[in-house]
Formats: sequence, structure tokens, C-alpha cells
Amino acid sequence: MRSGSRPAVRTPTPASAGRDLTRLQPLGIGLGYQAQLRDYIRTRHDRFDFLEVVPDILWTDLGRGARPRYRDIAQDVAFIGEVARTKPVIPHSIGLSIGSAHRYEREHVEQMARWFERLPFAWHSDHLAFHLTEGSPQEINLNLTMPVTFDRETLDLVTRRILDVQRRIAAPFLIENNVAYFEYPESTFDEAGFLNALTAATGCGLLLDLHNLHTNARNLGVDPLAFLDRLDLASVVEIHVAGGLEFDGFYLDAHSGASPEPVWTLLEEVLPRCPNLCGVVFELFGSWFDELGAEGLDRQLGRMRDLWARHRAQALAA
Amino acid sequence: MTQANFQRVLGRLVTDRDFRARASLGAAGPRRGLSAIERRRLMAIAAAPGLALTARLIDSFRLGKLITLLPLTRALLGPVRFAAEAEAYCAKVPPVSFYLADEALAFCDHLKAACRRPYLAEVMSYERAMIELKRPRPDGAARPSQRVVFEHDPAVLLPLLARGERPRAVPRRRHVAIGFLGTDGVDWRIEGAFSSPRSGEVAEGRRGRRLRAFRRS
Repeated sequence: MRSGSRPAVRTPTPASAGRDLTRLQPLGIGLGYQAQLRDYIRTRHDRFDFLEVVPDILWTDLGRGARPRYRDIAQDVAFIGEVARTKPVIPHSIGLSIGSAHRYEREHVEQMARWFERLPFAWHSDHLAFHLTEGSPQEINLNLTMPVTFDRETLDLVTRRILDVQRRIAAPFLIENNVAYFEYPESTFDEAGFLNALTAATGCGLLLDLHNLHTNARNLGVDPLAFLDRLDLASVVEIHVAGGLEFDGFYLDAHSGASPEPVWTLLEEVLPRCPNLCGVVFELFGSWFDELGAEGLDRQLGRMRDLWARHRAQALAA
Repeated sequence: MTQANFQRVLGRLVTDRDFRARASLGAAGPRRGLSAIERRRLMAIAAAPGLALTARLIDSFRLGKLITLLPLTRALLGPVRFAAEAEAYCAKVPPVSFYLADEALAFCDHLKAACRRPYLAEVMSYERAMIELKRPRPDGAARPSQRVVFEHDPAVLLPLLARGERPRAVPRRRHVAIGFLGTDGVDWRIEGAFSSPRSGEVAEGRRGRRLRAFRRS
């Protein structure tokens, strides 16, 4: 990232940071960055309005105690810096482990604060999940976003962490509904109720991942429309769509191609009902790009844009 | 701190196959440091197919990292044996980092102890050296050059593997290669003839002469 480059996004003022989602500017259609998409991003930049990037893939974590702990990967950082001169870049982290009981990755927050100084972003996000657990002799990093329990203890824990993130970084923070392949019994809240309690307690926004919701519907029998009816949609700032695949009797959130029709149906359902929505992002793992192809990706983004144009006016009028 | 214990046991359920198998039969039900509801939750999910799938996803992600950084080792072992060794490694060594290099180096340690096969030691040493040379390091940390001893002609061996072919009867020819990170990628100082596994281009060199032909960026 070039610190001297002019940011394409509005720098949030302290007054708008953290809690006031209504002051965010809609960005439109977003594409998730992967290194394999660089040519596409360069040559077809008119197909999307902003780029979302998992910041964790732009650096190498040298581990706790290393100074500096996070080492930029120059090629990726330079590319993102180049894009940021013409389009907003929104970070979507995987590194916080905000639901880990023993600790969360506080140094990741500091790293994001440094990035916010280099490249002011309109908002940022991570997952309602954990991947760090205590281990012997070393802490375990499960390499996967594990579901948290929906109970009061987790609510209090994640609330404290979100408030901490909001205090440190002057941009709204969003939490993403997670994908899971099993369910904990005896929950105090359903997922939507838990997310509502979290947004009420912290003022954070939601990143509503419709493919996660669809995957949970397929595997766990979640009723997606009932989930959306229960969810406080005024908190939704960003939506994710993606594709998946069948594997061994499950449907996987694999980001492996075109979004399935039920995800488009959910998007149509929810777009007019999210008054503070600022962006819809298509996620694709780079290794699947050859299979989907540039034209296939065009079609996904084009369909998103059509729906956005059709439904945003309705949402704003409401 | 029972929540931390709960997550610790859950982590073990998705990274330790034997523990999961025992827990799913109720034979090794976690007890200590857990509330009653946490115990019931863990017992309920231990046998869930989705938990086993989660464990497979974690292992698959780790396998993907190994394939990325050890392509020649994989070509030598073949994808099936490589995956089997990765599975054995994952069952023995829990994941500790998202990042590729640590995982690949730990897997090399596993392979060194677990697997005997012609050419394996030198191919793995070469890939291990590439990882060590290219991995990011803290400020001020030394980046030592890497020494790889080939017992077989690397000019034959490495290009074959880079093309995905299994080597057979590669001539025995000892080479000592010293790798270091230059301004434009990894360079090797070698003894004897050597070639690039990517281009197949052969560069002739004499003992101790610095050659640039053997490079993978």
C-alpha cells in the first residue's frame, strides 16, 4: 500500500465511526480479491464498484512475539494499493478469532488500525466465529471459522471484543453470520436472535452472508426466510453471495463458482428490506476462476448489479 | 474458564481422529473443567457427521498448503501417497498457523521420519531450502544460505518432477548446491552441470561458480 496514495473512499469521521451505520455511503457491487483475479480486476474494473480483500492474505504472520509480527507481501499489497487509487477497498478479516474464549487476536486489531491509517476504509468486518483454542504445548489454530455457542456467555464475550475493536478503529465494524456443519444443542438464542442482541449491545453492523445462510439451510435445516424475518435488517451493511458444491452428503460453502438460484432468491428477498445496505460482494476462491471464467464472473456481477439497481430505490424509499 | 475448556475439547474433536472416535462412542467423554451443558453439547456433536466433515475440511485446507509449497515432493511420492502422509501428519500434529511455510516445514519433519523412498531426502531438502530462503523473517533476522546435497543428478531429477513425471534410474551424481536469496529471487551456487526444472534449460558451470539458471520464483 502506498501511504501517499489518495484514498478513494471517504474517511469516516469519529462521529460516524463504530455505531452510526446510517451515515455510510452505498458503494454498490463488490468483488472479493484473489491473486488469480488480478487480470480480471485490471481489465474489467467497470464490472464492480469496490474491491473487498481479506487483509490476512496480504501479509505473513510471523507469530506472537515477532517484531514486526506482520510482514507485508509486497506484490499483493502493491496491487491493492494500485486498485485503491480508483476504487474503494474494504477489508474483510479472518484473523480476529473474536469468539475464542481464552483470548482473541488483539494484535490483529492493531494491524488493522495501522492499515486504516494507510488506507482509510469505509468499514471492516470479520466472522462470528473462533479458530484459536488453547493447546498443549502450543495454541491451536484450527484454520477454519468454527461456530460459537449462542448463549449469554458468548454474547458477553463477543460484545466486549467488538467494543474493543470499535474503540481502536474509527470505522464501523461488521460481524458476519457464520457457516456451520453441526449445531450445538440447548442454545439460549437462535442465530438471528444472537446477532440482533449483538448489534443492539454494540451498534456494530452485520455482514449478511447469504451463501452461508443457504449452506446452513441445506445442511442444518435452517429456514432462511424465517431467519431473515427475525434478523434486524437495518443493521445489514454488506451482503455476500457465492457458490458451493456437493460433497459427501453435504453442501459446502466452497466459493467454487456461480451462486445457486436459492441464493439469488434470498438476495431479491432481502435487498429491498435493508435500508442501510452499502454493498453486495461476490466471493470466489481464485483456484475456481478458470472454471467459472471471466464471462461467468461477468454474469454473476451483472446479475448482482441488475438486482441492486432494481431494489435499491425501493429500499431507500422505504 | 469453562468456555475455554469447551473450545479446547472441541478443537481436539476436529483435529484428533482417535479422540473423536472415542468420544463419539461415549468412551472418552470429556469431563474435567466443563459445565454440565458444555458436556452435553460436546457429547451430542461428537458423533455428528458434520463434525467429522469439519475435521476433513481442516485437513483439506492443510493438505492444500502442503501441495502449494511441496509440489516436487508430491510429484515424487504421487498424489495418493502424499495425501496419505498428509493425513497421518495431520492426525499427529495439530494446526498452529494459517500460514504455509510453518506447516510445510513441519510436514517435512514428519516425512523425514515416516517415509523412505529413493530421491526423497534430496528433493525434500531442496524444497525445504526454497521455503527457508523465501519465508518472511523479522527485522534484523539473518537469512542463512541453504545447502542441499544431491546424490542424483538434479539436472535430470528436478525437471522430471517439475513435469509431474516419476523419476526412474536417475544417474548417481553428487552435487552440493548453495542457495541464497538474491534481489531477483533465489539463486544457487552449485557444483557441476545443473538445469532449471521449469524451463529445462541447462547451464554449465564449474565448481563454486555462481549460476543463475536454476531458479524458481
